[in-house]
Amino acid sequence: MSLYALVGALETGLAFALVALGSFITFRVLDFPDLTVEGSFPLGAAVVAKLMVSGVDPWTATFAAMGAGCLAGFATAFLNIKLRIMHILASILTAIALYSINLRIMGQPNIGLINVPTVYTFWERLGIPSLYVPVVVLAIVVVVCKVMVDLFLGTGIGLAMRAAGANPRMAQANGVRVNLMIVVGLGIANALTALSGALFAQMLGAADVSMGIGVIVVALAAVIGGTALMPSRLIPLLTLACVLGSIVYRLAIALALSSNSIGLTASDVNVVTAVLVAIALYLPGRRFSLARRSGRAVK
Amino acid sequence: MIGIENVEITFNKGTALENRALRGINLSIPRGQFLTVIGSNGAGKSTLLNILAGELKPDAGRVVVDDTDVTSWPVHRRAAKISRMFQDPRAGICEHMSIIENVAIAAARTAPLGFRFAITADIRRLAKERLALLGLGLEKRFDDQVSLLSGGQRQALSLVMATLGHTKVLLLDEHTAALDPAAAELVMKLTGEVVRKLGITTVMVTHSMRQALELGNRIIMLHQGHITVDISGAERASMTVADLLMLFQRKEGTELADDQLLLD
Amino acid sequence: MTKRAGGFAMLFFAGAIATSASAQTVKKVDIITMNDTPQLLEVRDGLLKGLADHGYVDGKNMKVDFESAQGNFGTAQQIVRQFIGDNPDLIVTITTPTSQVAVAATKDIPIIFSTVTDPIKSKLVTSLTHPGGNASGVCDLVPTEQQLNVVKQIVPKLKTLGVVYDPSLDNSRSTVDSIKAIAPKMGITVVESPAMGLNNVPAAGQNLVGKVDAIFVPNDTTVYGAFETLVKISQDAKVPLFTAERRSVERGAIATVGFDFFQMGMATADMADKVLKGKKPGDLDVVFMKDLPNSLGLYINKESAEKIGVTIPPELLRKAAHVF
Repeated sequence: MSLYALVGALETGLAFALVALGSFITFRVLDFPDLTVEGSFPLGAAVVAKLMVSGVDPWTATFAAMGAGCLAGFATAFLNIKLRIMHILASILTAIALYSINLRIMGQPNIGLINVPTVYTFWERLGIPSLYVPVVVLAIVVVVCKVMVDLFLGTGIGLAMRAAGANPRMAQANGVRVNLMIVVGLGIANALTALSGALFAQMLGAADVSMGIGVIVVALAAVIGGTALMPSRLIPLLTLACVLGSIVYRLAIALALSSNSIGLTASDVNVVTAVLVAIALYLPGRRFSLARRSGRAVK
Repeated sequence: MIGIENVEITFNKGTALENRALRGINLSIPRGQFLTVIGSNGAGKSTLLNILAGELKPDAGRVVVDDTDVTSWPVHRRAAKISRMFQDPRAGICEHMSIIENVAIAAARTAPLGFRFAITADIRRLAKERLALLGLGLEKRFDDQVSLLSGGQRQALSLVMATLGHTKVLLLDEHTAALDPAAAELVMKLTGEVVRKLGITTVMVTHSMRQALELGNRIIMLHQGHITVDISGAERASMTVADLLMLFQRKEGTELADDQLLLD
Repeated sequence: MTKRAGGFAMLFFAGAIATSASAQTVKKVDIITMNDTPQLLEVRDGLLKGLADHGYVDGKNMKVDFESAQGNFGTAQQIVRQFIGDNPDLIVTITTPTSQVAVAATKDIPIIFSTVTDPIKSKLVTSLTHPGGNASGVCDLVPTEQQLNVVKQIVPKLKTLGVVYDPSLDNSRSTVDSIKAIAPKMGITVVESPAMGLNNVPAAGQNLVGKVDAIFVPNDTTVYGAFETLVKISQDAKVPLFTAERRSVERGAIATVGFDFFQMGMATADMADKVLKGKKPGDLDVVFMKDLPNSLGLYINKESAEKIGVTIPPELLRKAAHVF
């Protein structure tokens, strides 16, 4: 694998790690299968692109994109809580609606972002070689977001959210406003996803309405694979597993791309994903039975 | 301090399955009283508890706790005043979280921490103190997952969790019914001790006439949505299970065919 | 002895020069496409054939690496990075999104794009002539005015024209906008029938039956993926079907005055050849397929026309480059 391919894997892995963090909050903490991300990822890209070509500076545009993602999360929460639509369906409905909304926001299916000042441009001017800028910026963003999520889940509200996902009836009986936890959790998760979309689009050079396709699979591969390979009850380790999972996934793709001798191409990515996740799910099953015998607590 | 005034509730109104579960319950429970509720299946015991807890809203009537009308309050709002133990040992705790995390959640019931860190030194101190009372060694296993505990241990933990903070009312929903006899015995003993020590107003639903006589100081019996028996004090102290049964039959004029009430 | 040593030395040097010369002349060409639908693969095939015609043989003096991103933008980014690491002599990008990714990722490696409709709008170049920078390429902008003329000639009573397309494809969006701009001047009203994804194509077609006098399909890989169903609808409901490209006429559309994807691949090869011979893409004007001589030809499917009950004017049949 060349240095460039490694950089490519790191930058895409880090960009999607934010989606993995968001999916960790919804799928693992809240026990709410949230497919909104297929819509909120391109929403982030759409909002940031439209604002940037209209002259807004990239930082404000990126924050606006996060806000939009948060609203998307609220929409799913509304459908689930007020209209009593099953969680997975509610999220799919929002994702479907977002497809048309994103087209409307952009006004066209694709907006080019080449030669437009991005959040990365600033760092390039600092003298960092442009090849490494996205990796550096994304690494900082991912670390900050991960630490904030870790800290949040250790607060009173964070613990309440974990209880709401683990045992809603018990949580309620202990004063937790379960519905509020769902709203907050979905808001945070989709804000992270939209942030991911916004940063990704600026790195890619374009926002495209079909960018969301396959995002959920990537996020789940990262969450499931990552946490299964690194079983732990400690939240900071679990979120680390999600981030690493996202990067490892991209490294696997990079390997598949660069090893033409094995005969794998990018088209085989889906099979690679399935195999990775299967292995990741199988291994802890064996580890679990070992740890059980020694009496230590394992998730 | 708990007042239940003219509470009525009907399920599946207007259909073939219509069930008038509670038909005008009037009950006043003074502070510190330990009330046991017995009755056959479908008598309305769990329904009464659910209405007290807030999981059900009555069709008519009020629930008043310490002069505050809480009838329309949802579960989470009442939680600061009213805590509850469930029959299923898995229902009152979060299995995949640790003992200390569970205690922290319960502590937040009466003292929410918001954005401050949940597991503070104070919480640890409180947890150690209260768990030690159980005599089960749980205070030495803070970071163990609750899934490692037996049913009896979990209910004991739930008991501690339900009595943290300035809880005013403790609801016990057949909380030993799913345990094996030894564990049930233990949890009952602990219940008696904890309630006595902390003086919390308690309402316990049970199938067991023996438990009803052993714990608490007042028994009410529900039958078809009404309170048919209400005994306390000396009258109650002198009763046996057989006496209780005869009292029931006399009041209702029916042959008691419910096995569950007899067994035990 | 010295003569022999001298002889060996000469052989040695000759060999060294020969190998280094041949090493120098192996051109690395990396090709990326967003999807590997049949039309886009035709572009690649045309490109490879065109390169072969120019004398490049894969394995001998050219090494080709072809990758499809399978519709996944993350993978596209990784492929482009991988290509850059390869240090190729040329990157060829098929479809707009991959072109954008490549242009954003490198300002040094020459890029020739293909199957792009509006390179200025997509921010690939700032000018169509002598664009500067490291990118230029071949555009598939549909000659909508000529297409509509053909449609009107075959369906003289044309008042309402339906368009089936995938709204998520930039190329199609541009073509539809172009049609909507010229249609009023020709007295035609346009009815859009978007199909988001392959499965919605039949419904999008059905939706137009009874509302329009003819249906037009731009160069839309989604719709082409389910083209046979549209042909069936067109024949069953007797609504004339027109497209922007040739193969689809073979598959059952009535007519087009378009080019085909294979040709576009070959035109791309011509530009690629210039770059491989040393020209900078920035010095090459952007090429539009519709402006290339001999690229636009009238293709007619008489059988389809007959099935629908439409008569092709004889002068069109005579002008046609090919009649199916």
